[in-house]
Amino acid sequence: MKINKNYVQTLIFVLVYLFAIYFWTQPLQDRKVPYGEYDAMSHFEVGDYMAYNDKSFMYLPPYIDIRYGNDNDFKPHTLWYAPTFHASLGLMQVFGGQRIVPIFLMNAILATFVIVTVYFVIRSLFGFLPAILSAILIVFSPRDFMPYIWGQWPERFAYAFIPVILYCFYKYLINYDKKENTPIYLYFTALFSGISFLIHPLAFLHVVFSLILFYIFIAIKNKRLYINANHIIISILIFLILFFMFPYQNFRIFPEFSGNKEESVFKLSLSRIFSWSPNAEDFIGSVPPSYFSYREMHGLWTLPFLVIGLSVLIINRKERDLLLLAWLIGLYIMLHRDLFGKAEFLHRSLSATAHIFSPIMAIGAIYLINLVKVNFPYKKFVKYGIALIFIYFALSINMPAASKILNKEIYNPYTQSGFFTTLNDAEFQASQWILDNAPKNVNVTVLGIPYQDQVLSATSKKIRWMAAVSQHVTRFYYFREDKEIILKSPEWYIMLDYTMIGPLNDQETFNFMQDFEKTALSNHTLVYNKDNIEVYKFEPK
Amino acid sequence: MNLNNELKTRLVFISLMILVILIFSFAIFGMAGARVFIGIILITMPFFLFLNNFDMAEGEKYVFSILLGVTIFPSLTYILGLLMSFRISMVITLITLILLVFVFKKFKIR
Repeated sequence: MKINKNYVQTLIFVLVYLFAIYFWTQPLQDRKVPYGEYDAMSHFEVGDYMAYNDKSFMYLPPYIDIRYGNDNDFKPHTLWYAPTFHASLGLMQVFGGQRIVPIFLMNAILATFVIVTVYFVIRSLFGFLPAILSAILIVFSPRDFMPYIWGQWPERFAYAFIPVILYCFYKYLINYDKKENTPIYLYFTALFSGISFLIHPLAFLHVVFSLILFYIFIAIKNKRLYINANHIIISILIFLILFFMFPYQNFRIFPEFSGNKEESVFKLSLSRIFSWSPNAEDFIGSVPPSYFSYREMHGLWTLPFLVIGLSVLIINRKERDLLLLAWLIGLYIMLHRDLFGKAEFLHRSLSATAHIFSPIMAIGAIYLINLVKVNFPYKKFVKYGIALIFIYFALSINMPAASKILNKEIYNPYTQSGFFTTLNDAEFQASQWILDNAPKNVNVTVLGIPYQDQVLSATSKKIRWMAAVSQHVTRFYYFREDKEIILKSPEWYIMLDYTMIGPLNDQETFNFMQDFEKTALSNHTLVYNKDNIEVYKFEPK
Repeated sequence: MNLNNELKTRLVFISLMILVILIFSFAIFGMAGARVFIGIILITMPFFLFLNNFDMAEGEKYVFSILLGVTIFPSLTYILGLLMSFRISMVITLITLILLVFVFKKFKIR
């Protein structure tokens, strides 16, 4: 029986991709509680609200509005991104029949989808080996999974469109003069560009530069222009239809990009032109320095392959080579837009690096043997040998390095990693109880979660996750200036969280809370008391 | 006859892949994981049926339909969900898209 080669290759890729899903979802697997940084909360909140309340919304509910009400400059108090991405999370919550796992799993699938699209495009253009090697490298790319953990969810997915958009445009141009020429690929270019804009405008801006460059390259190579008015008009119409689906969100880009939110001055420096990454020192406190290091993000062993791959593309200069070069140069321009005074989200553009570096490295590895002009009988086997060495390095260097950052222990509320930031089981259940039992207009104020300066940046996340799970405005009691009013208001529930005090051995806070219960809450009714968390509501006797 | 065999082999292969992914999803994420995978197939299906009308490579059909399924379908559901229940709008979106595919197919044949 002859086994179809395509099926074997697809099976191998599916196994690699399932491993990626396994690897990226490690923080979720043992504990089915939500995790991540501030951005993660916002994306969870939007998708969760739609599914849990069984309705879409135009204006933000109070617990989201309190933080994101002014993020949309064009139409304040509405969603700041088009709802496409979040609605897909909501859909999965409905399909999954559960609140947490479906949203986080779907997000992992969408964030890793760039592995699928890079594999698909590179396999179509360069064959199976470069494609599978590229996919394996991206699985362990910290510049991909770090922003995913930090919560830049839509952006991760939006980058998956870049290879597909470029591929569609490539197909349109290379078949332009052929009999079977079909404009459908130009329409797909417009369609996927429009969708990428709906998911995250940054990815759209990335691809625009690469599309222009690829067009110029092909026009120069073939010494002609490719203009078909009908095709172009229909494509523009497709893009505009998508753009006007969510005008409140999409028009937001204009005030966003016309303003100077971040100080971004024209800094022409020679070193900046010759460096791929922005300066790590400009991002101290928000992004770790390792994020800007080639060695830490790709492994130095990949550098020779990158140089060889780049040389292969420049030497060959076929249409497919020019496509990758256009992709690379487009990303370079986006990464150096600070030179033109636009430094916003600069480090986020860096997170798209592995998507083009990995294919070039893989091409370098596979085509290395072709640089030797001598024909010998075992050339094919040498190629497979190099591919195996490539995989060995990826698994022995990149995978362990990736495992140090992304593993089952991060965001674990029962270890140091997530103790201050992630909800423990008792907190999750109490927040869920509030969602199920407290009236919609009720806010929650919490005592017992540490609020001192040295931990506040971490414990604020715990408070925000409580708000996300309970779908109620949730605030630290200690920082309220209206404590007297809160204590006499039926619109405020008081939560006493004793779960962190024991592990911290904080006798002082424990005594304060006990005393607070006896004195300040004497007119309140205990409505929830489970696993060291109590919730009181105001009910004057 | 050959085409028929090829189609059968492809169907067997796709079923095998679906089974592998279902087992994986269930083993790691429980029933919720398996249901998410089925959900993705459901929202992707109308777009795959639509793209099946065009002379495109198999890989293109799969990748494009997933990308369209996880974006266009939720967008339409969201818009309908402003007027009615989110769950009902999911069902209406699915039925409408499948009907549109059949209408398109009919017109294309004519």
